Parts: sequence; C-alpha cells; structure tokens
Amino acid sequence: MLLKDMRVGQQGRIMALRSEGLHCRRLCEMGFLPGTEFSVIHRAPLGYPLALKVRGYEVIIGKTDAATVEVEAQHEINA
Amino acid sequence: MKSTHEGLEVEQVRGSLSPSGAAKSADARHVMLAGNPNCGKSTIFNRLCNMHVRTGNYPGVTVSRHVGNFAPDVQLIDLPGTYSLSSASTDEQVASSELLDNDAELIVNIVDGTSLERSIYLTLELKMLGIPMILVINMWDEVKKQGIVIDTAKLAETLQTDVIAVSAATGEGLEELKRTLNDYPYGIRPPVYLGSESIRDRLEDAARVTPDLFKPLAIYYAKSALIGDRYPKGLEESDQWKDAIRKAREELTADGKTIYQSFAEDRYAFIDSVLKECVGRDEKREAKESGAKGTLTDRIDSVVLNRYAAFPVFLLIMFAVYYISVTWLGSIATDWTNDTLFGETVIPSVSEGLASLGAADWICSMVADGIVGGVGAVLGFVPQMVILFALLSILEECGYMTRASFILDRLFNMLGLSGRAFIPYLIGSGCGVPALMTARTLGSESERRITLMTTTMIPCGAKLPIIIVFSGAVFSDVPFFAPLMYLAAVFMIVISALILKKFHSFKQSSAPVMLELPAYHIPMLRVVLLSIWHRTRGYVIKAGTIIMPCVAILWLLTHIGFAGEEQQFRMLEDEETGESLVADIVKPVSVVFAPVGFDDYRASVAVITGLLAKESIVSTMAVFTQSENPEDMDEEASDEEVEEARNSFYEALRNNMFDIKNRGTVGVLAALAFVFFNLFTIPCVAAVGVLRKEIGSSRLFWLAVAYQLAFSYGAALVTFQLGALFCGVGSFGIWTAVAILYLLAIAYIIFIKKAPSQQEDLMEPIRFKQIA
Repeated sequence: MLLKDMRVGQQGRIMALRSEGLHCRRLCEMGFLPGTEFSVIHRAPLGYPLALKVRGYEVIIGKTDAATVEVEAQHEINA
Repeated sequence: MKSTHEGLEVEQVRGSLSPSGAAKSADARHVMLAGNPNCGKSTIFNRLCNMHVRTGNYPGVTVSRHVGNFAPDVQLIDLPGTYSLSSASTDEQVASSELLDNDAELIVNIVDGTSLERSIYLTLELKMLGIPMILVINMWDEVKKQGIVIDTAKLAETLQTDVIAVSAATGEGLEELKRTLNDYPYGIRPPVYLGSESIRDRLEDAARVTPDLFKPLAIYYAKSALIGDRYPKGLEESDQWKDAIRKAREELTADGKTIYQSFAEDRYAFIDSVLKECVGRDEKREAKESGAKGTLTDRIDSVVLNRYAAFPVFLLIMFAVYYISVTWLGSIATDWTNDTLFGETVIPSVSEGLASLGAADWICSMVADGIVGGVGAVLGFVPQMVILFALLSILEECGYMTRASFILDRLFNMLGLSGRAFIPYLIGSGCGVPALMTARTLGSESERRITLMTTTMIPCGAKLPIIIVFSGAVFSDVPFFAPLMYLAAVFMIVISALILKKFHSFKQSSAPVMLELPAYHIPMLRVVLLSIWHRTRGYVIKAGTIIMPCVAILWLLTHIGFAGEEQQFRMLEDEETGESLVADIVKPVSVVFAPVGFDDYRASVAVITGLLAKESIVSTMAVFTQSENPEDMDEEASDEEVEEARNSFYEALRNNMFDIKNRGTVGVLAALAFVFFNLFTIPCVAAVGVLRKEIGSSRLFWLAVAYQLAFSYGAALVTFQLGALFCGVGSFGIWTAVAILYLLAIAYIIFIKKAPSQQEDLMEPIRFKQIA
C-alpha cells in the first residue's frame, strides 16, 4: 500500500521509494528509507499533507511525495 | 539549480528591518554555524556575538548568511538551515556554497539533541569536507526533560569530533562553547567518510586519482559526482577520475537501487549503530512522560491540528491577531498618540517654542505643520506597530507557523503554491522586505515567483496607517472596514495567483513538501521584546530619514510657486497651494488617475511619495491638509476641540482630495479606489530593490512591476467605474467599457485559458564555477 492511504493512528514500515530526482533525494535525507518505521499522527483538514512521526521527529509530507512511498501497515497504536 | 540564482550564492541581501551585521573580513578566521533548519543556529549565534538576527520557531527563518564578530580575529557566520549539502532551495544553496567556499576554518555543527538521528546525517556530510568541526548538541534542557541520555564522550570518539552540549534557551553550556572556540587548535583534518567500507573504499579510489588542484575536497567531490550532484568542471579533464566514478556508480547501483538511496541507507545504518552505542533512555522519566498522555505539544496539536477544529482555530487566531492590532487595541493606542500626545502637546508647544524664539512665521509653519505634523502623522502609529509586531513575533516564536502551512497546504495548491508560502504572506503583514526574502525557502521556482509578485499586496505595517486614516475619514460608517481591507488583500492575491499560474513563466513545477513540525514553546519575553524593538526602531528611523526630508521638501514646494495675476514667483499663503510648484509639476501627471476618480493633484503627490515609503502617504496628506488644522490650539484644549481638530483633518481629506462634499458617492468610490490602488500597487523602494534581487532576472522583475501596476490600476478602475454604475451615480463611458473588458479578460484567463503543462522541477546536475 502507499503512504498516502494510511490512516491517522496507524503505524507502518517503509518498503520502497518510487520517486526520482529531488523528491527521492529529500525523502532519503529526511530518513525515509526502506525498513524505517513510522506512525501517522495527523492528517490535514483537506486530506493532505500527512504528519508523521519518524526517526524520533515529526514531519509533514505532501500528497505527491506520500504517493510515491510504498509502505506496509502494521498495528494501530490507539484505535 | 537554475543559473539565475548564481548571483545569490554569496551575496547578502539585507532587509531594512533586519539588523545589519558585520562584513566578512578576509583576515579573520571564519567559523561556520551549520545545521538542520530550526535547530537554534541563530539563537546561539545571537548569544555568542551579542547580535539580534531574526529568530523564530519554524524552519527557514534565516535565509542569508549573517556575519558576527566573536573575537577580534574570529568571525562567526550563521548559515541558513539545510539537511544536506545537495542543495535544493535558494536558502540551502547559500549554506552549501558558503561551506564549500574554502575559507571556512571551523564548522560548528549544531544539532537538535531531541532528534539526533536525522541531525547527524548532515554531520556525516560535513565530515567529508576535511574542515575541523565542533558538534554542538542544542536543546540540552529538553533532552534531559524527555529522559534522553546521551554519552557525549563516546559520541565524540565515534564521530572524531569535539562534542559540547548546550541549551541556547537557558544558556547552559554556552560558556564552555565560548572557551572551546577561543582556544581552538585550527588546522586541516583528514576528510573522512563515516559509513560502510564498500562505499568508503570506492570514494577513496576516486580521491586517489583526483588532480592535485581538487585534492582537499576529493572525497566530497567524489560523492557529489557519484550521486549526480554538482562538482567542479575541471575534474572532468581527468579520464582516470571519470573512470573511477563510473565504475563506482555501476557497482553501487547493481542491485537496482538509486545511487542516492544507497548512500542514504549506508549513512543511516551507520547513524543507527552510533546511536545504539551512545544514546539511551531514562526508563523512569519515559514512564512518567507517557503517563501524562503525551507531551504538551501532542496535546495542543490534538486540538490545533484536529481535522474539524483546525480551520476554525486558524481563523480565530488570524482574526484575533489582526483585530487586536488593527482595530481594537491598536486604534486605542493610535488615538491616544495622535490626539493627546501630538495634538495637545507636541504641535502646540513646538509652534509656541519657535514663536518665542522669534522665528519667522513661515519657518514656524513649516516646522510645526509640515515637519512635525507630517512626521507626527506617521509616528502616531508607533504604538499600533508595537502591538502588531508583538503579536506577529509571538506567532513566529511559538511554533504555530508550520502548523498553519500544514493546514493550508491544499488550499494553496489550488493557487499553484504550497502551504509553506503562508509564512512569507504572514511576515509581509509586518514588512514586505523580510517577507520577500523568506520566499527563498520555497521549494519550486514557480511558487517562489508567484509569491514574490504577490506577497507585498498584503498590507504591511506601513500601509496600516493608510487603512486607519481612511477608515476614520471616509468609511467611518463601514463596520470592520480595516479587517475588510485585509480580506480584500487576500482576495487580490488569490486572483493574482490564479492569473499568474496560467502563464509560462509560472509553469507549475513540483517540489517536495516536507517540513519538520517543531515542538511548541512559550515565546521568550526577551526575544519578543527585542524583535519589537528592532522592527519598531526601523519604522521610527524611517520617519526621521525618509519621511522628514520628504515632508520638509513637500511643504516648501507647496508653499512656493508662481501665483497671482502677474505669475510672480513667491511664498504662498496656505490657501494658495493650488498654484504652488508641486501643483504645477504634478497636475499633468494626475490626469493618469482621472479614470479612477482621484485626479486631484494632492492625491497624485501622495501616490508618488508613497513609493518612497508607504506611510508617507499619510504624512503627505497631513501636509496638504494642515491649513485646515487649528494652528494655535492652546494647551487647555478641551476634548471637543481635539475632536474638532481631528475632524478637520478628516474633513480636509474628504473634501480636498476626493471632493466628497460635492461628488457624494462618486467621491467615496474614488477614495476606495485610492486605497485599493495604494495597497496593491508596487511596494516601497526598499521592497522593490529586494524584489529585483530575489526574482533573479530583470525580465521577470519588470514583468512583476508592470503586473503590479496594471493589476492595482485595474482594481481601482473597476471599483470606481463599475461601483459608480452599480450605485446609479455614474454614466456609461469609455472607461466603464475598459473596466468591463478588464474583468472579462481576468475571467477568461482564470476560467478558460489552459494552464501550461506540468513540468517536473528536476535538479539539473550543474557544476560549480571553476574553483581557482
């Protein structure tokens, strides 16, 4: 599944990056790499961006980028 | 990036409201403060150099380098935040080009102790430069509070660098940092790649065959070339080097991963292993934390970023900020200074004082009515500025800015912008100069251009007096007139963005939207007060340096001229200003404003002086209307008399400039057109200068100026012509037709014209200028 389809409160693990160029570079720099675990903490009122907790910090990610990250959903933290 | 940015790399653009720093001197040692956005570089810089550069709790406050003197022979250079040296946006380019400028003798790498994992990524990149480095772990107080335990000695050993823990907020550790800086053993360190052997060996292979000229940065250049980033062109002359790079790239991408990903994975794997060794958690503390149901930030965000509450909370905050500073508290403050301070005390006592010194009548009049009246009209708004700047500063410091970007992102997308563009617009309501510079942080070229062209339409602090004066003089029966002007500005920006994004120069390009959410903190009183002080000081200094000479000259020009039947050149009486020199000069120009209703030469003069500084519009009006002011109001003036004095200024404004007495509704519409034109047209010269530097090409600059002039004139035309038609007080003329055509053209562009096809804003690997 893609990162953009995750629900608030879900935890997941990044499987693969499907972007190129600047987009891929920025994701890598910020530590979005296969195997990295994260949780979705907020979703903006209009659906996007998402706010994630990853590698101990919080970051917002736009729809375009979230649509290029393949993830695997794990259990929910507080359903 | 695009070549248009080359000029920005080392050039420092200074805003009129940002304190000026020292110049970079060639014989001092240069110490670079580098780190991720919002890790506290500028706060530490201010503490170390006793300076007051702009700070805030959101990423991207610093957009150009700041130079400060730390010791007689040591200069600190505060850089914009960046996540890596493969720069994306303009502000990040400033950082990487400074670091690679080969005059850096020491890097102070500041990291946020609460998110070491991500921060050290940049540290590893900096280690490749072979420049001595001190790792400063900031936010140490927060680290302790969160129960994070960092073994600094072990970290120092693994990363082969000095490690100092500080807290810029509390001042902890800063003395140690100062001491370390004072007797630092400078020199060159061997550049190292900290990571797996497979990558290190390949980089070293390439470094071995690097021509001598580029040897010092050989490891870094090899990495840059490998990942397709920039490197000096001269390296390509070495076939051996090119072969080494090619071979390394083939080997590292053999498993189908992008080369950049291989590098990042390698470095994060190294970081994970380091952190496992050096960072632990205080279990007891942690238990307490989670028991309290998350941190304060989490709890605030559960309301502020809640899907349903987010927009209402945002609107409430915005309304509160502008209602308090513009309408409620602000007007109380302004009334007090204008009526009590200036009206009752300063102006009468100045005229009396001058008269008692035996000064000539015309000098008394020039000083009291021209200079004091004109400058006073501007200074009267100082208390209101203080309130506005205080609220903006609190907003910037508390951490809400990034949240607002988050909430608004999708709305801004419709305008071809990203949520991050909210920040320049908000700053623009204080002053346009720093707002234009903040546009550097925006990711895509198109977004930056649209923001640069529209951000000064937001009424800045200097345009606030115009709104207030008109709201009192002409629109006193319109409820919420001032807040409505802010809404009108938002509307104009939306229309502008919708128009601009349909043109080729603003072709939408996509840039990654990734922004760190900072933790909230209570704004430090010291920082807020300093920020108010510096911004207000800028406003007051402008009143002395621009407004004062301006009104003095203006007063003279309005009081000399060829008058009377014999057209003799002489001093004029107050009621003869119609024959003054300024009238003779400006009257031909004011014809331009006939279609929009304010062709009175006094209004035209106000428009022209407004280009120097927007608040000058108010001071100009004060000079022109002083003849109506009671000149010798004594100190025991009663409240009614004061009220009368103010009313007479308003009366004069209404009837001199806009002739509302005779024209009625038409005059009121002309006044509204005047306000619109001045709010949305080209900003003051200071902002225009910054616009020119920031927008990059002179073609775009002139386009921006032409657009702003045409757009604001159009807005005024529609207001005046169609307003008159709508109110049944105008007849259909040629200009009415033009106004209708203008609206139709806008409608065509927005609704029918096709947008240029989307284009990926891929980073072109361009090379450094040849390094001599």
